[in-house]
Amino acid sequence: MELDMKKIQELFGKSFIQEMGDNKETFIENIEYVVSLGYKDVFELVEHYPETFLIDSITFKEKVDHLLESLGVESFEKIEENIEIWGSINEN
Amino acid sequence: MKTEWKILEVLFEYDLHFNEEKRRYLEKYGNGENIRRILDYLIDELNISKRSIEKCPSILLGRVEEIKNNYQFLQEKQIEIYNVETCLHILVVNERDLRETYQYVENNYGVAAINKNTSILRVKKERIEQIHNRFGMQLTPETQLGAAISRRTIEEIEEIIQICINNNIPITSTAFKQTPQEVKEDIRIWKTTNQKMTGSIFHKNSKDLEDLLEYCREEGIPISSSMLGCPLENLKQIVDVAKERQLDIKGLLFRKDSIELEEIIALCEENHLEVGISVLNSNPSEIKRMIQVCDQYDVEICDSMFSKSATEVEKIIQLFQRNHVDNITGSLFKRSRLEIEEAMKMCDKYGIKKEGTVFYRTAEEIEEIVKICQRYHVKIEMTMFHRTKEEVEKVLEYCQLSGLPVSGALFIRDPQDIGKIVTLLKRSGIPFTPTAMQRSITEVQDILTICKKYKVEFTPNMFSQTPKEVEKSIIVTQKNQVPLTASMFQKDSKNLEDIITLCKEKQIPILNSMFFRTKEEIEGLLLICEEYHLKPQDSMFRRRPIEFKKILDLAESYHIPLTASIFRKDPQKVEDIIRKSLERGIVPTGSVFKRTPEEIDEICDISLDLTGKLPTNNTFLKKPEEVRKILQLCISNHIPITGTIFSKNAIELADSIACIKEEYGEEYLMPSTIILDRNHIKSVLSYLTGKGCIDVLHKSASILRLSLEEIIEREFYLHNINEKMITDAHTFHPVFGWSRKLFEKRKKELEQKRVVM
Repeated sequence: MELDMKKIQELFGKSFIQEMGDNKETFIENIEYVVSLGYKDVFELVEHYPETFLIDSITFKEKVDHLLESLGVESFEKIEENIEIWGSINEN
Repeated sequence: MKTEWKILEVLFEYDLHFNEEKRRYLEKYGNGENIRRILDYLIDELNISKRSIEKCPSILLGRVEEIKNNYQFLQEKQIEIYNVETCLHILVVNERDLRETYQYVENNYGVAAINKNTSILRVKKERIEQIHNRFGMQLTPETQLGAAISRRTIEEIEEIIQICINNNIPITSTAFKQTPQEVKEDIRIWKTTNQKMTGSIFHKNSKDLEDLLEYCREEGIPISSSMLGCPLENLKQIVDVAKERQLDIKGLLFRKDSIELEEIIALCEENHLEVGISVLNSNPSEIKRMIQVCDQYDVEICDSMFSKSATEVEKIIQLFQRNHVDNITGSLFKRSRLEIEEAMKMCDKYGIKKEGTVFYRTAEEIEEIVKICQRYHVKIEMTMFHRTKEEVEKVLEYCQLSGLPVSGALFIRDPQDIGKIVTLLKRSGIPFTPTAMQRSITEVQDILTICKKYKVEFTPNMFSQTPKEVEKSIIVTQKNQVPLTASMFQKDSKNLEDIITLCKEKQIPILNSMFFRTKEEIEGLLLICEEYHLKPQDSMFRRRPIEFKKILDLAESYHIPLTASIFRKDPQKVEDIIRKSLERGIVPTGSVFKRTPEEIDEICDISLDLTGKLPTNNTFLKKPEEVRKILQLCISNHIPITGTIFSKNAIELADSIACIKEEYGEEYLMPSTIILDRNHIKSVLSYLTGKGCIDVLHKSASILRLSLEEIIEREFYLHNINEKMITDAHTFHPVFGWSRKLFEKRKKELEQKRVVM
């Protein structure tokens, strides 16, 4: 499965794609972290909330860990049911 | 006898060696005391090489005072003193004649001509003038000077010109080395070789030419025109030396005699210097001096430096260092010091970076190119200085007519190739990419053909390699069953294969940034990863092993967690950023490493000034001025400031904000909406307005993360299950929050249900 860059550009614009490119290493690091937690459909999270993957890796890991802890068991299934939950990572 | 003994004594004392003929000449016309005084001056004061004196014994017959005056005169002028050393006989010219000739040649031919043909200074001004007036239309300025230097009479010069015209030979200075009769003979003899007619044949009289051809035939050596300037005895010795050292017997080896050649080769081997054309134009003492200079200034020695004297090179290096020119390499020595100085002034005048290719051009050319850019309203690209001003203008004209954006890569190639390459790519359905200019049109065609042949997707990075290498790389990846990625073309196929093999052996994934490194560097990095129990990550391969280690040590000593972005910069810069961040109370991680310490300072000040708070990490995604604009936008529109807003630039944010404000109202201005693309916002909000449910966005804006097609698709699904878009609780139906995977699953279940029914 591939990341739908066309969709991301359609929804978020050109400068966002530029930002993704400029911060590739953080992006990849964060994606790899989510994959390492066992969630294989990470690309969908990226396509819905790409800006969350730009958060610096340390903060990202903390926020993701916190989110999953608060969701408890079957946390990823809950995210699948309401993907907006993932968006809460954005909140400061 | 007494004179002879005295002269021999002096020569012995100075370790000068002349053949018998030259010695007799000195003994006949020279005076031991005078010779001693001259040698004291030349060798002890001026550091002239003995070799140069041995080549020009007539210098020893001059008057010391006249030699000194002439030397001082020339030193004050703009000629390169190294050239004086190679034709010392001009120092014994009458002082008045020398000045007169110098003035005339400078006024009519320029200083560069004197530097190139320094021997002209021994010719009387009247002769030069006569040749200029009589043959100015037929001979180039340089050839006029060559003719003047020669021993030919005016009538002989005229006859030789006619012979060359009749035989279709370009008229160069060498034609005047021989008499007209000899010239005719040389032409007749050379025609028997079936080689291209060249003016170099006139280096030899007909007998010498015949002897040379005979020798080459006997030894089975291919004849080349560069042999023609070399006396046969020397040539034989050079061939012996070349055979002994297993050197390629090519033209450039015949510019030196065998003793000098041996010495030069030995020096080159000692100092890991390639035996190139320019090195062989030099002499052993100059080479030694050059090595000294390069060591002293820690500059890499290269062949092109040897087109200048070591003194000149030293002055140029000093000039570059005074002007903070980094990366001093061979191409910077193309011009004379004077030309470089003028070029630097021009760079200062127009704010051009003093580096690399700009020194290919004279000051005048630089200015012309700047003016052309101003006329076309384009930014100056450093690669423009690869080309002449006419070529630059041609390229810009083409870009203007065709609408092609101007980029530096366009100036790497011949302007004529640009249009052809653009057309070729267009026909193949590939948008023009400046990287294509690295290749010739044939190579571009070949690469596209190779992609078709192997059924691989074309990537612009392929243009970094030759077609042959591209094909080999594709074969390597197919053989090893690894996916082909764009970054692989940073390496040739051999290095690519080495890296792939290494990754397979170590059982690690092939990471894109590995192709920035050599195989040895990758091994080094992997060792360090092992030592520090780190999993190899892509960003680590941006750095060399030594840098990587230093950064790890820095992270440890400052207790900074290791993240990918820390490897963006070299260790010194990383340390500066860490210190500045800690000083300002910022956690040194993530996008902080995109910024310089000065930018970090500025961003912190801006954030504190406008929001009263320190910036969050995402704020450093943008430069200070951009941060200021984004914050001001949000503040003036009462939009809460979150990290997400810095993922877009201020212009696009302003666009989205304006769109939402004007068409839907300020209440819809939220971080989650303004980071969306304006066109997407418009299409979705219009749709929701049409559905009468835009106000639901206040409770849940996640629907905006779907494309309009997806929203309509999900609405259709709801229609099929008889449910509404808006729930009783006045929120969007949960279907708009499902992941795509879940939605597809539910859709399938519905379809299956229907089939059963």
